[in-house]
Amino acid sequence: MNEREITQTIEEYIKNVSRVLPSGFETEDMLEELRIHISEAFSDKIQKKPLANKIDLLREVLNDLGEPKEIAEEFKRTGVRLQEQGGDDEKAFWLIARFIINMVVVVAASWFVSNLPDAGISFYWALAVFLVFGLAEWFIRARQMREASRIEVQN
Amino acid sequence: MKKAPNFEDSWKVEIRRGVLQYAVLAIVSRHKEEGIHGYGIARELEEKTDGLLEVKEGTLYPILHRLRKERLLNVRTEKSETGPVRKVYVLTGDGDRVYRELTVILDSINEKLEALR
Repeated sequence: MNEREITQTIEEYIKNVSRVLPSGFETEDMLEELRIHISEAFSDKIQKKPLANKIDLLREVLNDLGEPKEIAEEFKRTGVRLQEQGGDDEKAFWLIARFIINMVVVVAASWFVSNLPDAGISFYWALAVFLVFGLAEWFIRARQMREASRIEVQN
Repeated sequence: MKKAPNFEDSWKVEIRRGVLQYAVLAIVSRHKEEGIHGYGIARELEEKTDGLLEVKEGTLYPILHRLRKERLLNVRTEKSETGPVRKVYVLTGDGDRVYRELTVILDSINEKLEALR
């Protein structure tokens, strides 16, 4: 087995672990630690058993690490929360920021549409229509965020 | 069809889970000055307990992250023997305090259980 195949096997394992973990900064951090662990355990085993088949040794290392779903279960069980998901203050900030951005876009779009040649719609009519769409989008997003938080707490 | 674990197996899993976080703190505590990296923790856990805890090494990393989040462990980086930069774990002041408290609790549990036998 050449070095390329060894690297591919390791990366395949890391990919399988990453598939069962939630994406985020901490997961990336942990995957990097797993990669270093594999590299150290593998070279340790090669040193101890220089005549053994490398792929068998690598399989031993991956077997010692456990199935990706075992790691995912422990991740869930220990309650590691993702940093990027942030706290309640951060969520409130983004909710308000999104609302303000929505309103700015609504006003700009209304002005643009009402100034189009042959538009046939006044600024205030366009504003009313876009406002309805903007508010609907904002409420749907807010509901999705609340739903995501609820699922996160359950997990 | 997957067979449901028997009472003995489920009990062992629960005990192991409870003990593992303490065992990690104990190992890091043994390396107060220089700290210890993830692979080192896995090795010590295997060697010092003769594999009694039957830990899948990959499951140590979520535990290490949890202990960091709880501010019981700190991390610094160093270059590993195989090349890449690795994390070295050291106990924080809080970690040391919690480890001592847990040791007292565990000793007390052992003592009381001994009296029950």
